[in-house]
Amino acid sequence: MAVDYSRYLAENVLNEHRTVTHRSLSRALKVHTNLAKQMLYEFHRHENAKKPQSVNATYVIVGTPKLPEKSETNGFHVKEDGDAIMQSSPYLSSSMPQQDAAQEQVSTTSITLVREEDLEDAKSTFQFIASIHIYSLQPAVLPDLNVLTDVSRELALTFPNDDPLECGSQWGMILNKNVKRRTGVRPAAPPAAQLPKTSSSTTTAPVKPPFQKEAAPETTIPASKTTSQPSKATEKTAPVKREKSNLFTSFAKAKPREKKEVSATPAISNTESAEPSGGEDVVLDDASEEEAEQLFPDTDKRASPTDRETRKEREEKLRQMMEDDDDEEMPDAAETPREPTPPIEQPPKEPELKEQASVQGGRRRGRRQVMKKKTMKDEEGYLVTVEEPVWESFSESEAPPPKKKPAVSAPKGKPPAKAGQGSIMSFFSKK
Amino acid sequence: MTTFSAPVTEPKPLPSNQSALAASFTDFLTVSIHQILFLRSVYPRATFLPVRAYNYPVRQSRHPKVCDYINDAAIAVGTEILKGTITAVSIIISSLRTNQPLERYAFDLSGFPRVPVGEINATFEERKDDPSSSSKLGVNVSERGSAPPQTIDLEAQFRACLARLASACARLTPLPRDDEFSFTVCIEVREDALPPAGTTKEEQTWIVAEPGKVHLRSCTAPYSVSKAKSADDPQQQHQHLPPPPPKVSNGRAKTVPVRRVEAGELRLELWVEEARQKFNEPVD
Repeated sequence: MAVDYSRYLAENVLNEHRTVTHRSLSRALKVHTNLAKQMLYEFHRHENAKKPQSVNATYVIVGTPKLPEKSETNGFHVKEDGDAIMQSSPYLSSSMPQQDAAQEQVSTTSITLVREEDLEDAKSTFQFIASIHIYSLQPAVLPDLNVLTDVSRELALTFPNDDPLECGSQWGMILNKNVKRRTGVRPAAPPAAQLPKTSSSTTTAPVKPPFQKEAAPETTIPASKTTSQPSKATEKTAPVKREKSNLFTSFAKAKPREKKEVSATPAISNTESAEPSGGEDVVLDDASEEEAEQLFPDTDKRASPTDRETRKEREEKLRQMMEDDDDEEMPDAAETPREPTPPIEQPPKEPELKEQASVQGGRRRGRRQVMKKKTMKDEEGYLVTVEEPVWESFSESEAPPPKKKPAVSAPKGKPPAKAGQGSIMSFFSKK
Repeated sequence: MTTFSAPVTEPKPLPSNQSALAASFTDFLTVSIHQILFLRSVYPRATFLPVRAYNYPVRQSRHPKVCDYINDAAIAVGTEILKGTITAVSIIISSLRTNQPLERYAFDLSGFPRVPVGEINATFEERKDDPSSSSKLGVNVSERGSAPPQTIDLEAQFRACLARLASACARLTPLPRDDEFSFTVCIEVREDALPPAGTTKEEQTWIVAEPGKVHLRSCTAPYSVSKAKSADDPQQQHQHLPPPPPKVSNGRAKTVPVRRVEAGELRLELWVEEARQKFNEPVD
């Protein structure tokens, strides 16, 4: 072992001119990182004794930095040597008199990465040094410390099969004993509070008009095309989710199909306001799938009459809640319909999964959106992994309303984007 | 740019036609020039911003004129690649005080495929199949009969190149501290190619270099003509100079190879040459 490390380091640092950090050394030799740090230190000392400046080191200093002597501010300046100068911004408070500064200051621990050349200077900026250790060895001075990040990246590639849970103790990782890997399929994400705006699904058509008017002024989404239904029927949540995924239509080829379905439903429902319908029709024209109509023509009719009433009640409740809160996000509730919030307003986050569950006849049924990852290429050839919500039924009773809802919401998502009102869409439209 | 939480990008496929090849090389050239300027401290290091290219931390100059100049030079180089006239591109760092070239970073592009202008968008596969083109290219095409699958990660190759560039620069003798430096982008054209002199203002992006300025002869084309990119920035202009210094027979004092990149059709070599003048050796 003792011989191995110096051979390994000689090969990598001196012959191949690579940078070796204590982490990469510990992974390569399967030793504890603290031992790796000692190895680095020994090698550094040994080689430089043989030939000065043959090996250069970077150090990490952990400790309490000295307080600035002439402090015009109430805060700390934590200065790092080297290129990455990260200074905490001075905390200026006009209300705080200067004499309180000393009492106001909190103790700070600073972890600083420095080059060998700057080590002494850096040490002098510390009031108390808890530890110093070598971070990396390289054959020459690093002009840019950021390249050390590349070593970590390579580490992941070189040792892809090392499970941190198994090898962690060997390397010196701090592990929680109670942690264990999950088995099985990734569970569905919890129901999301955020309701993307979706055009009303056809099934809730009759219920929608009255709510639509109320919803319209409340929703902030500029895209008027996508009506946001404040009260979301169970079927709505599916389209709601679909609409959210419309944000990512530029990345997903599969999306248009769902949008198609969505547009199919509006045709059936006449509750949509004119604009959304128009929007959907547009989308319908654009997308050229016929599957939408074929797939879910029946579910529409089936769902509407049965769920209408419960949806109505829920929408009322939702409306009440909405009017109380200012923001449009509804609290998560498995069975509460959610208000669609304009996806454009929100910065593109992960689409929150919707769960529509209607309690009818005492049976809980509904559709749940599960995030499935799909990797595809967008226009620029980048491989993009998109998390797409996919509806799956979790009800014990009848089959849930199928993707018709997603289809409804999908085209609704697109029109607002096309309206150009949401600034976020302009971000994507460049692609 | 996706804003997903963890965008996973698989390696992009290798450039499949000449224009894609020229585009990837010009991008790489731009990144390299910025990195070279940083590594050699041609401009103060504080003026460089840490950025990321090919998933590798590099430095980019923040000065708009520098950026513009480098972009223009890279575009001009790309144009010449598409015309098929280039054999090498070099970045030459010269001292402002003595007007002597000190270091030369050469990208040898003689391995680039030569494609007629009309076919720059034809994929290399198509060109291989085309009998008329194969006769022109001769042996080269048959050798590439079975192109290796696109498992070569171009990005990784560029990353390695940049990493090796940094370590090669660390091994060079440092530039004299008390001097200011400037850089020039130089191309070498093939003997039988038309020099890139244009008639209109827009086309006149290149000026003929004085032989003394580019002291080193390219290994691959001993009779090539060197041209220096003209610039609007007076600091970087080399047109009105005092008479060229006495000719040097072999200006190269030290050559440090950096890396050879072979990724499908993109074949280039990068090395660094240091001039004798740098070591204050007497000039022949």
